[in-house]
Amino acid sequence: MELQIDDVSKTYSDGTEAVRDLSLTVSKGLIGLLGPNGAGKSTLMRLIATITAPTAGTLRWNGTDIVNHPTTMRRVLGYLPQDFGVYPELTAEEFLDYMAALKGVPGGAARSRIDRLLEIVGLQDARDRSLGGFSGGMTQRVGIACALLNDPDLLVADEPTVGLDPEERARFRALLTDLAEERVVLLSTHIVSDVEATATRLAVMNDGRLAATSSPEALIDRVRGQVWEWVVGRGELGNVRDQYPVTKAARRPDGVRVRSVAEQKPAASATPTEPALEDAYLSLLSGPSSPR
Amino acid sequence: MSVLRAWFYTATADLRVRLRDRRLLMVVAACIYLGHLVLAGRIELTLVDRSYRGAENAAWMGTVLSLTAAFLLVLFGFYLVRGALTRDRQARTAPLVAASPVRSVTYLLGKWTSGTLFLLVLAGSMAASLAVLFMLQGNGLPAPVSLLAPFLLFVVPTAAVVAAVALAFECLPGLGGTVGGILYFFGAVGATVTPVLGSVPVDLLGMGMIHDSMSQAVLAQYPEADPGTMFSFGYYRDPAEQLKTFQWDGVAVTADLLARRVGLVLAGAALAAGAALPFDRFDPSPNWQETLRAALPGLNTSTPTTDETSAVNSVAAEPPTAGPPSVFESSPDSSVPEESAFHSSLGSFSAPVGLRPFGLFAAECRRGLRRRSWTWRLGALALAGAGVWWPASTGLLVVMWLWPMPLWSGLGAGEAASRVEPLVASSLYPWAQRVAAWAVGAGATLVLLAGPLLLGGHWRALVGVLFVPALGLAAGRLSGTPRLFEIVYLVLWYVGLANRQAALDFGGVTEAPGATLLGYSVAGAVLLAGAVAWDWRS
Repeated sequence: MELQIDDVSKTYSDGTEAVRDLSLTVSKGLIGLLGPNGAGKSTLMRLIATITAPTAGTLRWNGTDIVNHPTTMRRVLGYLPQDFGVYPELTAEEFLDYMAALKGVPGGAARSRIDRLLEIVGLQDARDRSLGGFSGGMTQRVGIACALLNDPDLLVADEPTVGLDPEERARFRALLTDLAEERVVLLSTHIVSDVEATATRLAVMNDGRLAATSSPEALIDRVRGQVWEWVVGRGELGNVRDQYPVTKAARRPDGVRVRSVAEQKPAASATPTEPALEDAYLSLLSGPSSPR
Repeated sequence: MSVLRAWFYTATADLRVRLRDRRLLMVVAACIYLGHLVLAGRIELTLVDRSYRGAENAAWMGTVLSLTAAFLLVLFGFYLVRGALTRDRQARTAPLVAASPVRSVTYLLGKWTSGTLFLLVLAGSMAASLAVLFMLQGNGLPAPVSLLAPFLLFVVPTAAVVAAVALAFECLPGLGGTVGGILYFFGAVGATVTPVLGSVPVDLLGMGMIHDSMSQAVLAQYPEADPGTMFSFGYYRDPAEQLKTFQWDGVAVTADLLARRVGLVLAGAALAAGAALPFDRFDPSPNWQETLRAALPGLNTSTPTTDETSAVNSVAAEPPTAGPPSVFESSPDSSVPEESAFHSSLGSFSAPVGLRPFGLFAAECRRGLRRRSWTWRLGALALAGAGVWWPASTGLLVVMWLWPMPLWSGLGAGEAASRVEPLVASSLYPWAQRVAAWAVGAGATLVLLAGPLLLGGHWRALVGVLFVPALGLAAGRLSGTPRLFEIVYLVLWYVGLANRQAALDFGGVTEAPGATLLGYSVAGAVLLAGAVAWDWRS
């Protein structure tokens, strides 16, 4: 199982360059695709899901060009888009059965699969309710079940935790970790904690380009010894933000405790601290970790 | 927030969205072409059985153009401007609007202003093309006042009323969809025809006024002219020859005329403002008491902002979960399990993958039927029964070809409206969904028309069974809304079926010639193939 992306670019008709010359190879495991809003993550997800075509470059699944042969990908794909809807007039079970038919899952297998998936996502009691009355979180769970209908080899989840409460998010991450043991799971998010403990590999996108690709540990190692914490007066926070990428700022009675990434000790009172993925990620997006 | 500021920004934002739609280019191109047709004399205004026409001065050309524009706005403008509120719902700006302090009346007046201006842009493109072509033909610059006056007198009020009716229909329960489109069409046909036939209280296009003014001019210059059926206005492939011309300098602008035309604009504004009464303010579960309370602040007994916000943000309560373990259920200590039991319990999936045409067809049937109200279903049942009882009735057949319009119009547009495109497009058989949708449309039509087809000898209607659902599917996929289909179909239905024009009859109402049947069959097949095969990957 291998997805190979070579020199892919996508420019929309209005001239927006959403993805620029991006190359990436992903294989079994959970790959976290991190990046700020507008980085091009959703476009890359749509390219992989074959619902839009690149303006340049190739995408291959197990060696087959999926731009020219999208069926190869669609046969093994589970896709949870960032923005999707459901047919409000159908029940959850009917909708999943409908999607199972579109995915080519035979009737008998689809029924047992839907039963189990509705249990898994906690919607078994709502299976006969019209989707028009579902909340955002419930609809998101229907989407998750939908993505897993055909037991995909490649699961592409674009901001899947949107609409889920913190506990649901944690459990969904555990579910993805489990699924990633035997398939490729590509999880796109701008929330670092979604991939911090689960991803075997990270790809960071910024401005349509791939800014970095490595394991979470290697990314964290990049800023080891460069993460500092210290307390500043409330009026000084703005100046600190101007000089360093601040990853955390917490109010305290004696001022604001800031956490930042810097090559040199940023203040006399600053103490080095253990780096986290968020430090490495923000440092990567904000450029060199020296005073600006 | 200042009311004027809110109105202005609502109108300009909505107008920007409308004008930035690339599909508008096609409509503008059509309008420019219509301007050319007016100048070329193909769109013709003649009097006394195509015997007299006005001398080609700016007043005459401007009036013919304005009548053409107003006529087209009445017939088609409604379908072009309808959907302002639906668009806000689909763009998800609706909750933001509903939770904002803007009054419903202000918001709707902004939408109405935008709709009116949009229609005037279209009509204006016709006028501009005529003026440019007029000059290119060496006629010099047309007198601007003579050209502009009929535009202001006849087009602006028409646009204002049409935009208001479109908005009001969207606010009224049951009229926001295809049913509203059908009702409007009949109303529009009536509004364009009756003023010429006799005196009516509301002359929307101003045709009665123009008719009277021109008749007087003809009779003054040609006393022998028969003042009976004088008006003839329409498209002609061959311009009339040997016409006598008369001098006409336009409708005399009197205080009475001005009051009537300005009154129409004000009536449009009043209708748009009045639409705030039935407007649900994007409440997902509207009730009439709340709607009236929101529209009429005097009736408010509770804090309005809180009510509106909570109504807009209300979502269905999630049901309690019970039964087998779920990854989304709380574990007793609310901790996240290190290893989920999900995969082992779900099991791997090794069933062969294959197309399930009957499953898809059944699912599309469910969708198609559930989208329709009980009234519609009972009406369809009654019509089907009547078709068996009176299978030879062509009048009944004409009505039967109208009833399934709401079903056909949703065949290709449903995916966009429900935002399921990414799920369908990334599935293994996206084309099969389209075939299934068409099959449901064709199947429902066959069942409805079973009586006339099998017992009444109306076998020619079979081409419509192929063609109409294919048109619905293709138009819906192309435009993403039901409106394109509604416009095209209503015109075809009105001309071909209601007016029994055999050359355009797809429904077996007349003895349509073989060429017509072949044409519709080929068109249906091409539309179906195109709609099914077209991959929307961009």
